[in-house]
Amino acid sequence: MTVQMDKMTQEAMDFTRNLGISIQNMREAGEIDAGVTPKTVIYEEDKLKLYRYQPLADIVQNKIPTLIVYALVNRHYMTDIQEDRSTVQGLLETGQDLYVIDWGFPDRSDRFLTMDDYINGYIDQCVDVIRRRHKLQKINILGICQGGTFSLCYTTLHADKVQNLITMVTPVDFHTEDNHLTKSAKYLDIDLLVDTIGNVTGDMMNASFLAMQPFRLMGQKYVDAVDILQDKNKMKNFLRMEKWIFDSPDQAGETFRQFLKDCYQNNALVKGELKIGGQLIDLGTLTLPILNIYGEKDHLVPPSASKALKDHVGTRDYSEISFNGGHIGIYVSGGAKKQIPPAIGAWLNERTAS
Amino acid sequence: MTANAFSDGLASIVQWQNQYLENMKSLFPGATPPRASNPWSAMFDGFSSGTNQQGVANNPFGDGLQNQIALMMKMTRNFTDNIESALTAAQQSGEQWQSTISKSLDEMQANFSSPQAPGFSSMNFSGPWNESWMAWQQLFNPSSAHTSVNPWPVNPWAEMNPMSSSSGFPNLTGKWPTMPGLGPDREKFEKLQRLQSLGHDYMTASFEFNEQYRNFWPHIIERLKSRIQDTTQSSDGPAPSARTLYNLWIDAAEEEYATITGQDSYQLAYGRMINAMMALRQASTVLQDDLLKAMNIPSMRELDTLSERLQRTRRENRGLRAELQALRDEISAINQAVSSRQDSSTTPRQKTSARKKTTRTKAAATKSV
Repeated sequence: MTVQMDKMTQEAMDFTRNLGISIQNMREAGEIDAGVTPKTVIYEEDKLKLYRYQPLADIVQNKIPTLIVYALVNRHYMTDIQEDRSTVQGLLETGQDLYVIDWGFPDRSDRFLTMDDYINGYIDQCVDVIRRRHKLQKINILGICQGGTFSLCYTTLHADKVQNLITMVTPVDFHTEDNHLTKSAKYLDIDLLVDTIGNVTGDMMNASFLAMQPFRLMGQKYVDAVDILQDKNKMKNFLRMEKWIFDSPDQAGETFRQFLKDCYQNNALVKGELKIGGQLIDLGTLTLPILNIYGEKDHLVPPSASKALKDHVGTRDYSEISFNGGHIGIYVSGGAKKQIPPAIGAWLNERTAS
Repeated sequence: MTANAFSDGLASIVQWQNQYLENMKSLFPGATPPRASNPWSAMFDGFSSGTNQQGVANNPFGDGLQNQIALMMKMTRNFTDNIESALTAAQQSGEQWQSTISKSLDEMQANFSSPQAPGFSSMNFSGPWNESWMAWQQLFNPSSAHTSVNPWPVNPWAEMNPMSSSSGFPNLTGKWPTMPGLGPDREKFEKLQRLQSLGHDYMTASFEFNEQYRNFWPHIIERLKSRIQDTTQSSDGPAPSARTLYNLWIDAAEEEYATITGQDSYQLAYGRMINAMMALRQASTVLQDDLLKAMNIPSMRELDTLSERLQRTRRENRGLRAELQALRDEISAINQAVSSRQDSSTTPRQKTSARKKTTRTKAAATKSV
């Protein structure tokens, strides 16, 4: 086998062309928009906004609305990043009536917001607002990542207000062998950290996530980007993802303290030792229908951490969907759009009494 | 670059990119964009110049993160430089490309195996975590007249950065006074001594953290060589592309990185480094707060006190709101019960007047609440 210089030359020339067009496209990129589905603010409190997505006309509506509870890390528009890759759009197409919480950007004055404030305060208030609007006793909740953990806690404490629960890429057992975030937090003095810096900045969170795979996420990704940035549409997609990844709110210090200490370090959720607002969270009391969705290649919340839910809840109506992708791909990949929203929609519609 | 088609291709990229950087310079007269010498690094220069990453200068942590990304791109440049010269040499001498690359990798491995080798010190995985180090340096910089807390004319920590230390941890014993102070400045002196001591702890922890990466590069190259060998043996097709080689390098690097970071000793070193940094930063904040107080500016401690009180009040309000709602619901339920009882025991005419009365009662109840 010998070096085929003609091919190497062609590769270099292709790279030249792609890079030239890429940089030109970057210069003309303009504003990067994200979050495409029309929505209206229904309720505001402090920095929180509760939105309702505009339902699609000509589609039979599920009478029970669904509240999407996103993580405090990054922004909710991941689920609606662009038209052809929007989980929200996909769910609307199945007739779901969707609401989403935008947590906003906590600042120093929000440092003392606790998990209790988020769960028994903000989430509960949003659920009540939706219940009142629809004159319903119960609504559906779809919790994502950390928002899924919060949703589990919320549903345990307010079972009378939740009809069906969906969790996506949600950490439940934080001490599975392949959980690298847990390992990196193992020896951190969280009290010292929060007492010192107050809120944990988005940049710090990003550094921790990037440190999971630094060569791929900080090097290879940008080299590979040259292959796609020449295409204006693909460039926009890439830049939307870049925006989402680095559009990172700070974490309220006290919430971070409890989440890291109780969940990551002590695995209190599955031990039944987690307390929110003084009340123990017992997942075994959850008897409502639960759909748990996880990514097989998720390096932030490994499948083992999510699948553990099955062994801890008391419901007989438990379903799982395994997606062949990662933590982000489950929302934005073409494959996900075809598989995940239709499956959630069908699952919800089956369980909604007409 | 020598005359071969591959190098010519790269040269034309560099030329084009330099033109782009010149254009950037004309747009931002104050800026001095670097000259591109390699397409990979120039690509990053193009990205960062074009997207004006200078904006993160006010955020040391974000700056550190950005530097970390820059480091990754520089490593790509170094790698492609090596590959390119190996391929060029192979073509000129008629050698097999594998043996030339293998030789080149051997040289890289030998270089990386020496702590003094260029490249070793550029390996800094704690870039974003330098924030406290930089803030602390600023605090101790005697030339920062308005922000320095250093009572001495020199900064004993200047020029010492454990994050990039390659020649052993410096012995700093006796570099700062340890005797208790006396007189009115005693307390301040003690705070400074504590700061110095925590700085030393932080440097030690940082050095130990970086030590975890001591054999990082040689091991990556070992893995890469083995992967190239596997590719050569298993494939009957044409030679892999430059991108394939790059991807093999990334795979090897990630594999080695996962091996290191998966070890408990690494996690312990990482935890100690972050904890030492936080302790240092906390002590710095105490002194910064003293400075702010002297300037009649609210300190972080005061802001935290206010925020905590505010949050407590918000929580109480939430509880009161819930109680209020519960009372409203109760009143509403009572009204409904009264109304239905009256409905069942009155004539239609009486019913109308009773309903009116109930409505008035409801309105009054809501008003009084």
